[in-house]
Amino acid sequence: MEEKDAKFLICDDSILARKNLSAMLRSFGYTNILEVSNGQDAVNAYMHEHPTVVLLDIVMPIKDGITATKEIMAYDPKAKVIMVSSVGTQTNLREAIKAGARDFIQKPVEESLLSQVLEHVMA
Amino acid sequence: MDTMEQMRDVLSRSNYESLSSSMTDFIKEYIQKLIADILTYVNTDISVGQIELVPEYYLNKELSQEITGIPSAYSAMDAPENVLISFAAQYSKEDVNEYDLLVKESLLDFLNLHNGLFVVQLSKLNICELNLAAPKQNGAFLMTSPATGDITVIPVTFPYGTIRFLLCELDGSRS
Repeated sequence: MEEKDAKFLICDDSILARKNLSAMLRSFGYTNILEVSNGQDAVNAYMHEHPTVVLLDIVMPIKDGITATKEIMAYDPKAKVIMVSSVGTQTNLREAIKAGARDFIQKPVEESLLSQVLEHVMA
Repeated sequence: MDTMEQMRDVLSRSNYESLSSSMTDFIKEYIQKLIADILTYVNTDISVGQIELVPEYYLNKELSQEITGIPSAYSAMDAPENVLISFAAQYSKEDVNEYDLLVKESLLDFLNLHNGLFVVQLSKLNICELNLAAPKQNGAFLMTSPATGDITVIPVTFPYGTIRFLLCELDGSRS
């Protein structure tokens, strides 16, 4: 698969956060981008769409990002999940990695950091 | 002047110091971080008015987020719509002109960003490990202080008007 054909799933309850992440991905040349606004929808979308990378917020209604990550990893242990959250506490970092997330990006997201993390995760 | 110096300068011109003996360390840290985050992500042309401790506060519309854990706290913001629109436009860098979904989302996004960075700061300093509930928007809401203390009202004035940021500590068991 060509790298730029990668499919992304952005899951964040903030429209603004989804818009910003989507714009950054587009600026990197990616165009296949799906957006959902809660953890349950992320799990459902993952099962139907099999995205290459999931960018997942932690604090969300209905189902939080850590729980969603656990469910995605149970379905597909090779899933590439990156947590993107404003709450990068030691507890959340630990829980995210334990749940199976490949990396953690503290909000506000810097484009250069997102690019580096994607390069590492998609390698 | 770096952001920390700017924050101290802004607060030194308010009643923050004179009121600090009436506030918990948690509230004081929150106010300092709030001003630093506004200076970093929104606008450097701000001033802080008279910080007040009140038993209740009527919000025309609820834009709030709960900080969970021990201690837990309720945070919110309040201002006339035109001021909120200007704040949202400046923070999100979006062309918004009316109080619509994107404005509300931008306001909650700022609250979530600031509260998140505040919680991360407390975690990094090994003070406590807190978390956040999802931010919420509702209609009119009467905010009443719990038994643990008053509501702290932090008026921040921008070139386009004043936004009142509100914080009250809740009982840890309510989280």
